[in-house]
Amino acid sequence: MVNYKWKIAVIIISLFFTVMLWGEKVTCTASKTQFSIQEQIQITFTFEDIKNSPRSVDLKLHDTFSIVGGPYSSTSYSWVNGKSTSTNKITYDIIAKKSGKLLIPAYEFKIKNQVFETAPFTLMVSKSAKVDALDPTKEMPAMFMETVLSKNKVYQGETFTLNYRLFTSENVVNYTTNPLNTLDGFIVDRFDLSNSPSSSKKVINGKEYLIAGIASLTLTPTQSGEFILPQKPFRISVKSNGQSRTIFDDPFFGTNTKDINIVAPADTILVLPLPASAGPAFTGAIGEFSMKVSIDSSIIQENQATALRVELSGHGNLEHFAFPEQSFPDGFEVFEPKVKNNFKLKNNDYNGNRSWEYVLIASKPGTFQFNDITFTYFSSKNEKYVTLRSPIKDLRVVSHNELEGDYTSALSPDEVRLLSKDIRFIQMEEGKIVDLNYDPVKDPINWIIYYFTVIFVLLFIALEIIWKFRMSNLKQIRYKNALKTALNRFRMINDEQTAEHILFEIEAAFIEYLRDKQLDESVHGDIPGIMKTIETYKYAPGMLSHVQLNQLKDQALVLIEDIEKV
Amino acid sequence: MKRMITMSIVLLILFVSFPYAAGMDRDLLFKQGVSAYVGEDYESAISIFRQLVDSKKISWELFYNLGNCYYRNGELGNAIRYWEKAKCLAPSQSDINYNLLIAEKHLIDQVVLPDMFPLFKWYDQMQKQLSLNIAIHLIGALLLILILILGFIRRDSRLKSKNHKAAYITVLSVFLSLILILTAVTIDTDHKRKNEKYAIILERSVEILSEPTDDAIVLFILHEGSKVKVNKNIEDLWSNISYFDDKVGWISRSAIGEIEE
Repeated sequence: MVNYKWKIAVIIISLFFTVMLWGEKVTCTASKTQFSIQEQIQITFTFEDIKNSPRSVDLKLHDTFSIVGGPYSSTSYSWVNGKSTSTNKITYDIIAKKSGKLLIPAYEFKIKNQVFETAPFTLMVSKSAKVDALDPTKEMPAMFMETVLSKNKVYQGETFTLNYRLFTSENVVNYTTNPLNTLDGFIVDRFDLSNSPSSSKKVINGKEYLIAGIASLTLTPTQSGEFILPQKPFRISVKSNGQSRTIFDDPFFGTNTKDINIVAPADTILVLPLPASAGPAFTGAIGEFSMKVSIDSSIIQENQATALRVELSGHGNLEHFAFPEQSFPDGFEVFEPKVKNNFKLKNNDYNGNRSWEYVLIASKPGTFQFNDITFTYFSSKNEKYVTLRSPIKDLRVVSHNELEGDYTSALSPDEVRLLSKDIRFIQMEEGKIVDLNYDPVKDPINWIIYYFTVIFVLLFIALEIIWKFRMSNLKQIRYKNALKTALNRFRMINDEQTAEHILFEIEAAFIEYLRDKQLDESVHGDIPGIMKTIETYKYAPGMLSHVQLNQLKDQALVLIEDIEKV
Repeated sequence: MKRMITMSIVLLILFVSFPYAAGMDRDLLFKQGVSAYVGEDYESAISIFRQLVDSKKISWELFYNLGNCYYRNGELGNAIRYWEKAKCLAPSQSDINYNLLIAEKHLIDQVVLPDMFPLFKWYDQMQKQLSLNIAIHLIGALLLILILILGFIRRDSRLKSKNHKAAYITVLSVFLSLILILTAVTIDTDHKRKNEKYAIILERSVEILSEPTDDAIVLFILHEGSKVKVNKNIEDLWSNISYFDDKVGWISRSAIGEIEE
């Protein structure tokens, strides 16, 4: 009987522990199993009924994912049929670094001599689509990023830029990211987070976005091949909408904002190897350049130095190459060139000039011929090597003996040493002789000059006044002189003139008279008649006789007389 | 009658040729003075040049040469006095200014004045460098140029019917400003010239007294070559002078030589 009781007790206890063990488990889940490369997802570890569960997990996903947030932990308790269960969760925000089937491995946890293991699973990560190719059927996100390459394929050593563009429908207050200093296979020339980017608007699938290039990365590839330019996480602070105003909205305490983690997607770039047979004058220059060579003097003294300057101007990877070694004739000691840089990173390239100054010291006299200065660069535009060649004039080096008599060493005014000071020599002749009591103010010549100019000024002012007066009374003057002018014109008419000319004079005299007198046709009943006759005559000038024209002239004169009487 | 005509012609020739003859004599004397100076006979040179000064006809070259003669003769005070006289006639002559600079090095009373406010310094320089003659000629020339330019603008505006108001006003204001500044400088310079008299200490050392009496208290001592402002004179005996405005006292008139007599 006792044995029986003990057996039952052992079975119950075993069952209890079995149940207990069945309740303790660890799982790993992802918020999404299918997503794009630029999307952020959550991976969650759930510890059910396990006391002393870990607070963080070593994800070991660095090759495939970026961890952009977490660990966030939460604990929940529940009572079911009088039995309590506890659940601890650890969550991480992750973003895929590359597309394809990505494995989330099995994770092992040792807790109080017990080992728990999660099941491995795969996630399907699709390549990020460019903005223009976004699926119109899908709902557009409030904010996303795009990476834009300045060139899709470059040559090894050719500088290019990756621009990060933010598309947002929310009110962005600020944005930050970690600067990128190194990248395998590339020289990072510059990572620039723009403080005040220029923006534009664009409607994509019916949603309006503000687009701004918030960062750029300038790279120079050091190897050839296809490279993935990794995604770049950004933290964007946006203004919260629809929240009640709190003390924290006070400008003094800052605005009410929320942070959003967003990732600029990865992109690929094809780096082509440079063609072979570049030649010895190629040292890795890629771009478009021009060369200028100058030498300080064509004649120098023995043991004297002269400078040879080579200046390259243009655009390309100016930062990343040395000037090719040049050969100089024997008889010169040549020092390492002094390099001067005057270029800027602009429009995805280095623009400006770079110069090399070689100091040459002549060790023996003679006339020396220099080889042409050569420089080869790879033209990415024309996809071929270009060699620039610049000749140098022969340099004559003269010995000290030869120099004497030919040249003299000049001194600057400052170099002339003043031995002593003395007053200057007397004047040998007298100039203008004046009276002892000479007073310039009373000098008649000065007075003449003064009065002459004053009279001139007054004359000018008087002419100005007269002219202005005349301009203001022009109409009145014309009115007064109207008859005189008209009669003068009529008097000029004679029978020797052509009919056309006489008609023109009559018309001009008559019309000008009416205009100067400021009269219209209604003033006198005969005016329209005369005007009509003139117009009619104009169309048949060849048929006109002097008699007809004299009659017209008389009519006009009589009419003017009548008007004057009135 | 014939004799009268002959006499008249002779008189006329004499009358016309007299100034020329006088000029010839002056030229000759001047050259003699230069020769004496070159021959290091400074006493004779001074005597000759002074004769020319006494003729009441002067030139800056004459005063300059006299200054040089006195300098070589060891009379620093008189040298400075005559160079200052020369400077009154030709303020911008570099030889005069250079010699005055050399003479300043020999002065015992060396006063270092604080730097003037740039505007005042510029005004002072303008007054020192610009002679009244040049200033008057400049004003005349500027007025003429102004009228010509204005006339040109006016004519142009009439022909083309364009609004040349801006050009008109700009030219007018620039020229008028220049003319006004020049006029102000000229008037001020003339006023100073007529109202401010300066003199040079001619004795090696001279006591400046509190009163115009021999037994007055000695206020300060000045040395040869120092430039003082003459405030007033009591006959030919005493002069009230001020040295850099703040030191005022009485000095025997024989101890100073006025620059503009």
